Amino acid sequence: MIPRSVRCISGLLLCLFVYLAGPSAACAHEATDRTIQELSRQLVKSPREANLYLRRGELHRFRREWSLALLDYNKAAELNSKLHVVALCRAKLFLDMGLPLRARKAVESFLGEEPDSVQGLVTRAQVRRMLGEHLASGSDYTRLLSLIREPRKPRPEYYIDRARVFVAAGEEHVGAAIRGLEEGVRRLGPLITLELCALDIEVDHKRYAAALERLEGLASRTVRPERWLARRGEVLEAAGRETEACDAYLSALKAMETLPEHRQRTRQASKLRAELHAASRRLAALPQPPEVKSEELP
Amino acid sequence: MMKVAYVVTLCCVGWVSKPGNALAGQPVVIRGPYLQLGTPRSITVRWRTDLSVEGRVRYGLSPVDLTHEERSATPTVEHEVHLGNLEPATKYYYAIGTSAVDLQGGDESHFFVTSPEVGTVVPTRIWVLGDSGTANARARSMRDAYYAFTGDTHTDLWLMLGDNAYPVGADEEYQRAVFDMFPQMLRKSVLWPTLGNHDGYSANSQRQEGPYYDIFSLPTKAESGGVASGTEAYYSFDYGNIHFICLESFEMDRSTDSPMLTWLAVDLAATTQQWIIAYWHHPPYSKASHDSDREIELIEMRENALPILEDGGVDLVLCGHSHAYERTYLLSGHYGPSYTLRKEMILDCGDGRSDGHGAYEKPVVRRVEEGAVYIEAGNSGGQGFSRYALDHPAMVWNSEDVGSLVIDVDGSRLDVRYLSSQEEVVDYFSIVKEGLTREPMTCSPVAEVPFRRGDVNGDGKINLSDPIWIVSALFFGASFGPCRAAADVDDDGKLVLTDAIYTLNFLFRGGPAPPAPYPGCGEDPTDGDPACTEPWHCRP
Repeated sequence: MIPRSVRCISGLLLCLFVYLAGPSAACAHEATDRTIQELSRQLVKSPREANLYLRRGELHRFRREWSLALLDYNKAAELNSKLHVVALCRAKLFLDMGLPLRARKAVESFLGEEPDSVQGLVTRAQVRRMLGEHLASGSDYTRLLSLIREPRKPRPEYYIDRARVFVAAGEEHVGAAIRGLEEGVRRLGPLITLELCALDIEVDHKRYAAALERLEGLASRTVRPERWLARRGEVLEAAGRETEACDAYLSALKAMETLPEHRQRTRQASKLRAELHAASRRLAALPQPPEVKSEELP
Repeated sequence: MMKVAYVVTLCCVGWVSKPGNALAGQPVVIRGPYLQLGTPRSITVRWRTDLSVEGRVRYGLSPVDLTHEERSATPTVEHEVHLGNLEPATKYYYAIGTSAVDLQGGDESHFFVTSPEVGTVVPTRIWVLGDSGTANARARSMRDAYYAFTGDTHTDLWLMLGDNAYPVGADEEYQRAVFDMFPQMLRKSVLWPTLGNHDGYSANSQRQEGPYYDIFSLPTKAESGGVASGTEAYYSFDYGNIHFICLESFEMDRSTDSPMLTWLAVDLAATTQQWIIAYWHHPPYSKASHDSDREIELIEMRENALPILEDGGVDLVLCGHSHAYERTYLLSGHYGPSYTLRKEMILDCGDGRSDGHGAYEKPVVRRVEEGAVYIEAGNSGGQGFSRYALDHPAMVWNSEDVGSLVIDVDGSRLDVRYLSSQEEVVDYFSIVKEGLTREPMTCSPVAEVPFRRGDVNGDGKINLSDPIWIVSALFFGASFGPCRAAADVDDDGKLVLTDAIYTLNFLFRGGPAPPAPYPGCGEDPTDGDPACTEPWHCRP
């Protein structure tokens, strides 16, 4: 139990902190603060400029000043009803506030005017994901990815987010999730973030053969395969193929021995070596399946 | 006769005032040439013309014998010509122009040297600029100081640590702060930049749009080594026996499971290079114009990126953003705020100078390749003021001089100098990885420095000013002063608000007195506490 006196003092100090923290927080966002001040000055001169309200509202949203942001968005919409992007900004604001239903209403209104907006579709995909409408969210990602055309490249995160919503939609959509990531690899190149996401999904859903094939590809593309060999061991172990898993761990250890000395001594390498030794010892201690004599084979 | 002269004059005026050379239909080079994406066997040459034309680069082993050529496919003003099938570590001269005529180059000053084969040991000079984008006289003197310093020694590559063009990284600001400022360096050495917050005001890292991304050609598919990142926002490349890693600390997700840090871990696990140098904009440790205890980008890079980098054996980390020069000891495992630094995290408490306490040596102890030096060098543009605390306890050296970094790597030795715009070497140190000769220097135990617990401002007594001092340091960027141990009033090893509360409780509510050393001066009987580096707190 905290003594009452300490609570009193804490309260006083907290008040002092809250009082003084205002300017301090502003210091932390000095550039944003300056821009807001500048926009406010411009609004004194041009009070009917909707874009200025919109820009200031975005900065307030960035600073998580929700009501100030909303006031500016409302004013911008009031001054220029054709400024459709206000609805998108409102949707992002409601999303940030954790109000997906209000966010949906706003983003639908925006997409009604601009159905091919990538930002609009990203926002709706996030809203739908928050509402648990995984397949609809995945469709939004698919559509926005098709709208980003060469030479522009989509962000890898769109592929990853799409895969995650498909996985969340249920086992029958896991294949679509992985195929979507592979589509990303074809479009963006062999990005490790996409490959690792696909690998994790394959392992989580016990698609061991596919995971092993992927790991083989990853190992063949690097001069340092030890990490991928170790992962191969883990996948094989999860698949109940202990002998092969042990071999994979030992291969990883062997690969580590060929590294230059300065790379063998990193904390990362030391940690991996210890894990590999532990894993191979663990597997060696397991009772071995009885050897099947050749004449017993069918 | 007068009439003819008048007509000729008019023609000449018209010719001069039009963009390009209208008489000959010739464009004018208005930006560059500049070099990008250097590898052992290729390089990209970029430049801008005022008229849209087909671009051509002629190149060869002598300025008077440019035997090869490459052309851009379509007419453009932004020329980007990729030269392939080159020999490693070879000097090529070049000229840029249209499909019909050279516009620039073909002389001794237009050349590039291809990177050596990956893994080979060659003496390498690197120039590093932080927050250089002011385009002012201070930036010019910083540049001139380096040019005088390096003389005929070729700069193999140069790095920009962000805020390369003020105030918002617009294209015309890049023209002034980069292209008009460093034309000689741009045409002979490959520039590898990172994005700063000011560059980010005009550019969008998520969408890879804006002047920064338009101007620079950076690797996305591991074109120059490392693991493909798929984005120009963060990337890695190899040069000789060095692996460089560039991160984006402004707009990208900095959480541990983010794509950037996932890629980082894999990239580190894939390199066999002897040296690893990482760079980005927001410094993990700083007490200059920015405070690494308070600002989110700095905190997240320290908490999330540093453990991965140190696990992977990083040797040197370079950042800007804070407008001063701050250089740490050889550190490992310091991921919290400044007051959580423990002496065990300082692997070598020396100055790292061969003629001082000795160069830092890796591996330090236990044959584990750990320890890195962190440098914040954000004062190449001369924006610093002489009012910063500059009291981060991890720093062995601070300076407010305008300057840039010069790094020389030769085999297993890495030398770093901070060169001021007055052409003085303000700080220097080395890291060596072979021929290790000495035990690392350990920091003095904090218990050896006498102090009085609770007397934070060192006035010889405990009163209301001491908790105010703590609150100011915690929340308003003021300094704790050189004796942080005095501010750890409840002796729990942390500098937090409860220390101020403890003092108030003691002063006004009859709470317990601070633990020893109190009321007299003395040594700290407990280990692992915030450090007290000067005995000025112990006025009797």
